[in-house]
Amino acid sequence: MTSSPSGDPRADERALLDRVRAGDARALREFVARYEPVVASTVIGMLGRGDDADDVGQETFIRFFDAVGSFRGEASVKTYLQRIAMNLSLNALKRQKRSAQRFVSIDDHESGALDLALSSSGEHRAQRAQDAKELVDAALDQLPPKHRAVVVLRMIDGCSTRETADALGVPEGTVLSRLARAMKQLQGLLAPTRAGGAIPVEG
Amino acid sequence: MTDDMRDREVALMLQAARVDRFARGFEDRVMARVAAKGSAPVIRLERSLGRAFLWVAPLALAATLVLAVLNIRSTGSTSVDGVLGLPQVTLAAVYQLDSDLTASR
Repeated sequence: MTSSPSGDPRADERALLDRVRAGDARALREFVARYEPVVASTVIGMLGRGDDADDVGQETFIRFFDAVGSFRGEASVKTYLQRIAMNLSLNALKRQKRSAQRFVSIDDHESGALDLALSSSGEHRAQRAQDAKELVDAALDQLPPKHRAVVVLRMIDGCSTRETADALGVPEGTVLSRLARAMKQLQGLLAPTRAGGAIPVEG
Repeated sequence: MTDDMRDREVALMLQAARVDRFARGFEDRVMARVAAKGSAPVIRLERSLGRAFLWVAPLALAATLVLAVLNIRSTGSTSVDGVLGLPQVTLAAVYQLDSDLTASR
């Protein structure tokens, strides 16, 4: 992330936006570097790592640059980017679901990832202990997209309930109810992992 | 274990799973796409003209139909001349026009 020369992050953000609006290539690059963590966290949280996530990440910035002329700052840049990233991720999930339905049955699709990750066989148990991230990804895959979106923004990206509601365009009450249901489901999905106590949890 | 404790445990696992970087070279890939878009002004012009046409074409068609109906009603004829609102051209009218033009010189 780039340092803020004036010490006032909001003034720096405005100055950077002005340069982005003017089409300054260095400013565009600086903007991407500054906000990559925000976009990556949302998109990878929704889609997992891979080419799809990279494409959606790039598209998020392209869309922002296309619309920056009309961006008036009612929402913060972070919230605006998260909103674009989330909409594009949800669209990508729909496309993935459609193409998956062409080749495999729904049952196979829903159970496959987590079965592999949470299999109780010794070989897989050793594997799963090495990578908590894959297990969480697999559990998130099992959530309905709308619930996953709330978990990603609220629990992984660290947004407030209000920010999550703004990014998703839903009332705060809806965020809270979806979050409660999703956490309940995640408790069940991650129960074998938690009970085993073998997963290293960082910081 | 209480529900709150389980929630905290799941929350810690989710936070630990946060990935905040794309694969190396992400900035370069975005900039390449920006450059590709910027270096294709003809394509952008084509797209914006296409979008403008989609807005203008129905309006123009509607205006044409309205004018045609008005012309038919005022001339009482459904011939091409009537629809286009062209006056009947008679030999007498041509002579009259000719004499007007001569007089004006």
